[in-house]
Amino acid sequence: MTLKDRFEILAKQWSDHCQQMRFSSIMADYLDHPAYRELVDLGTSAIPWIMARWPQDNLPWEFVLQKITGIAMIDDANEFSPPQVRKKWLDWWSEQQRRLPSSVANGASTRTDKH
Amino acid sequence: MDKSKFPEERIPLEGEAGHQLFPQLGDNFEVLGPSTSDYNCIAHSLGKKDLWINPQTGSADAPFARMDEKYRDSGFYRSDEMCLEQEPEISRIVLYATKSAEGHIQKITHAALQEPDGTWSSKLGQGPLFATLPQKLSTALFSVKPWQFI
Repeated sequence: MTLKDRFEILAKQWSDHCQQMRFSSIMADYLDHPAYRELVDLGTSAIPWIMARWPQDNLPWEFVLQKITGIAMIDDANEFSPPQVRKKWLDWWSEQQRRLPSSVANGASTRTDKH
Repeated sequence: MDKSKFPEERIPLEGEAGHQLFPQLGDNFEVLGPSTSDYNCIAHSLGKKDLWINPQTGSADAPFARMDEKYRDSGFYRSDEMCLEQEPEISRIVLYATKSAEGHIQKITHAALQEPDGTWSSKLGQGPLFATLPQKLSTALFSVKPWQFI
C-alpha cells in the first residue's frame, strides 16, 4: 500500500466520523478520532493531498495542517473563522507551490519549516 | 412553517439518525439555510456567520462561567427564569447542556436564538440552520432545560 493509499483510507475514515458528528458544535468531537491523529502522523507528505481534497469536503483540515506544519493559522481554537483560516492555508499553499519545484509541490515528500 | 425548503437537508434529521438525536423533533422544523462548516450554533446566536465558537464548559461549581462571559461581551445576561415568550426589545438565547444522573451540568453543547418574529433558530454544528421550538431539541444530546440569556 502506498502512502497515498493510506491517506485516502484515513481521510475516508475521518470523513465518516465527521459526518456522524456533523450536528455537534464542539470542534473536539470532530477531531477526537484515531484517523485524525494518523493523518497528522503522515506528516508533510500529506499536504498536497489535503490541499487537493479540501475544496470538496467540509473536514476541518486546518487542524491537521496546523499540527503537521506547526504553523499557527488558528490563534484561538475556541473561536476562529473557518473561511478566513481556509483562505490563509490556500494562500500559504499557493506560495509554497510558487517556491517549490512542481514535482515536489504536487505530491512528493516535502519539508516545511515549523514556526 | 415552510417544510418545502432544502429538502435534501431534511433527510438526515427526519431519518433514523435524526430521530435518535432528536426524538421530539419529528418533522416539526423549517430549514433556513444549508449545511456549512463556516459557523456553528454559538456564532449564530451572536449573529456571526463566519465564526466557529466552541461551547465552553467551566468548572463544576461554575459550569456557565465561560459562556456568561462570552455572552456578556455582546450584552446578554443569564436569566434566573426560563421564558420562551416573545417580548418587545428583548433578545433571547437558550443554551443547552448535558446533565449527569446526579443533576450536575456536564457539558454545554448548543444554543438557539429567538428571532424578532418570536420563532427560534439554531445552527446544528456543520449541519443546517433551522427553526423549531427550543423544547424539540431537548434530548440525550441536548438534555437539560435550556438556560436562557436575555
